[in-house]
Amino acid sequence: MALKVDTNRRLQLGLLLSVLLVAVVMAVVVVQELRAPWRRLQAQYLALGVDEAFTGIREINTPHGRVDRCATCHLGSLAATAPVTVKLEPHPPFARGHEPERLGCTVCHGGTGRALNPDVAHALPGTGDRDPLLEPPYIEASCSQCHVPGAVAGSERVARGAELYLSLGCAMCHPLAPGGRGGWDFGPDLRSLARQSPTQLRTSLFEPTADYPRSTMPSYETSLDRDQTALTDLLAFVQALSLTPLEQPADARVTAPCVDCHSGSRGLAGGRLEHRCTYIKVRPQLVCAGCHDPEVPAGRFCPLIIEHREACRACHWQSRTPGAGAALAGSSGEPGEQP
Amino acid sequence: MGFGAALLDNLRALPASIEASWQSAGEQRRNFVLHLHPVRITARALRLGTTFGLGIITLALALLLAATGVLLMLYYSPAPESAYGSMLDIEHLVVFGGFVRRLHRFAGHAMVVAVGLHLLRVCATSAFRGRELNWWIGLVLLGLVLGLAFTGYLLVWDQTAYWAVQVAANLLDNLPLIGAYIKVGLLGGERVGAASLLRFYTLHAALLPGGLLGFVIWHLWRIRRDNGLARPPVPEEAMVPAWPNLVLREVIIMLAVVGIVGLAAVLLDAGLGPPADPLHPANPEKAPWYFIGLQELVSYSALTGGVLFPAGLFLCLVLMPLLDREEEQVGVWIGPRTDRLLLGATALFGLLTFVAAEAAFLAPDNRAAHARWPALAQDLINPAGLGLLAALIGFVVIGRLSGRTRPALRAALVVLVVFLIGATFIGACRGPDWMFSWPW
Repeated sequence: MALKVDTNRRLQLGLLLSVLLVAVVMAVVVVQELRAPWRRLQAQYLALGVDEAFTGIREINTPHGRVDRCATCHLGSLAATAPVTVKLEPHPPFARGHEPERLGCTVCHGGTGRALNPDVAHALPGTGDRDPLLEPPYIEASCSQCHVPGAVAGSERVARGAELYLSLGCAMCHPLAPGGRGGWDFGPDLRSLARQSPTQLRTSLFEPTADYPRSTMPSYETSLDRDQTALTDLLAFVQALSLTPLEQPADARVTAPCVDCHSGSRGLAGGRLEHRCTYIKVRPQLVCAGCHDPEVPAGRFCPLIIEHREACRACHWQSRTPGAGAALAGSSGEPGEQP
Repeated sequence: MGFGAALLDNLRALPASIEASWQSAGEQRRNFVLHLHPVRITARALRLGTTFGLGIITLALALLLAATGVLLMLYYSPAPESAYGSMLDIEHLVVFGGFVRRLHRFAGHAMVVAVGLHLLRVCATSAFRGRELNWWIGLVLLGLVLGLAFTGYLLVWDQTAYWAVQVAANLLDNLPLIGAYIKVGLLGGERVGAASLLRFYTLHAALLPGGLLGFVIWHLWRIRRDNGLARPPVPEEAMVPAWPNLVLREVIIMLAVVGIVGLAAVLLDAGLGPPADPLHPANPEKAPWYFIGLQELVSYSALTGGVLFPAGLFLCLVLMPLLDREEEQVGVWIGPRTDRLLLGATALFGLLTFVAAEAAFLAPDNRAAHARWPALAQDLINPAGLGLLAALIGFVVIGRLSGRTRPALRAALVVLVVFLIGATFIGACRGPDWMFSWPW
């Protein structure tokens, strides 16, 4: 057949422009892909002349069902001595036993592990929030996913934060009992909120009405603003509250109820008793009767338990049941932990 | 001759036999694209202003969606625990994955708009005259496109999607008798969950596209059967060949559509929200934008906003070819000049009524007061009810003024459409706790 194309000028121009538009769009897409941040970083890394020759996306499939691709850009983080293109500090000593090759990165550092774009990877999933546990003071909060705060080296800040939570009266309105709500609960259960960044938490503490105009929460600006350490400790603890427990802690101190209050050599009750409960420390007259009076069920005298809705259970997990509010809070990276 | 010799003989003759088979295909060798088109078309059909190419634009978007959709199917996982992760993988891991996803999403939104504009164009030119069946096929296609958009919306499984679908499904509860059953059938339960995701995926990737394919083929075939685009019945008119005139214009429009959607995919972002969390409703829970007008109207009265108003709109559309039987000005944009004036006046009237209705109910105190009225008053006096009343007034007044049904029907439709678009705008501007705030 004869291919006689219409010589209408406008039509020819229209055809040319539309073909050009599609071609330009495709070219831009290809260029964007070739200049992806991770490709450029890897090229820079290889240019340093490292022995390790690799290219491509590096994935870690963690035992918790996450996929972490951080090592694609954070090169050298998996090799102890190789130079790094993205400045990292070496992991602290207690990270031994927590090899990134096995556990991945996001379980401690947060972020969106599957992403390869820094804007998305360094933020809480689906938000622009870029400081989810990336900053060292707050990384300790991640320890509470598997350990009782304070039970392992490196989580002392969170333990101090737990004490502050009680002494500042947070548990009066923000309950921590396994059942969640009931009675005096004016504020939301902090375990069931989505992951909050330190900035958001600071706003909630200093200006509760900023996001919730009808809030009756008092401002803690005067008591905490002067004491940055206390503020950091408390924020670390509150962040820890919103993380889903990943494993039952192996610490012996939580597996037997009596040792909630008793500490001593490796959790064996006996010898010198040291009550870690803040309330008892300042009311020594209650030390024995509270637990040893046969007519009083153990612990029931404790105003902390009654008024603070069993706040100790925030850390002592054998009573933390999944689905009681703690389980489905926005997890720190992947949604895979829904029960 | 022996078998070996026969085989060798056939192999030697291979080039000739291939050529002979090709020749014997004969007529079937003719171009498929040309087969779809009529041989000659009117010169008027070539002008852009006749239809603005809206039908071709919609078709181009549908083809783009099908192609990108198949690519996405290679990586997407329709289970709650892996859906969000697979979306992240598509965005970041798959080469060009983010681009294909954005193409698909933006083309989907564009298609809902294009289908609506196409419908309005056909209404404005009364092109259903003599082609009533194709009009109703088109309405079925409208329903299928909305269904595809809605089912696809859930698949990303982020907070926005999850709660948007929950809210939109709850709108179904307002339908008397059958609404609750449809909702449970759609969601696989009362709440959105794993069953819903699988059902929506099957609908979105298999059932609805199949339906769309069938009805689009029928729709296009009916155009041929009805002798091309609707036009004024002028007996003698110059016809021009479809090739290359029409085909070239179609190619340009299709390329332009792909180019523009591609440009949007390159410049704009279609991000992912936080992963879906069934325990924590998003605040506000908003339906997808093409249903949010309905949600806004339902927020005042479930009966009027959710049942009566959509029923009014639906009846208007379905009955249009039966009540408008004029033969004049078919294929011409809004007939005689007086018709245009009447329609413009009705549109203005509809807009003013809408603004007045919403202004009255916008303030939270007025809204709270409205919620305390007796049920009948609540159901009758609210934006949706006022919209229906205004449409009725337009219908009767314009009908009596012009003495014909066509302008009356158009008047009713334009008032209802103005209310729907206005409600969509208001609903889109609503924020947490359903508080209204101007977008600037």
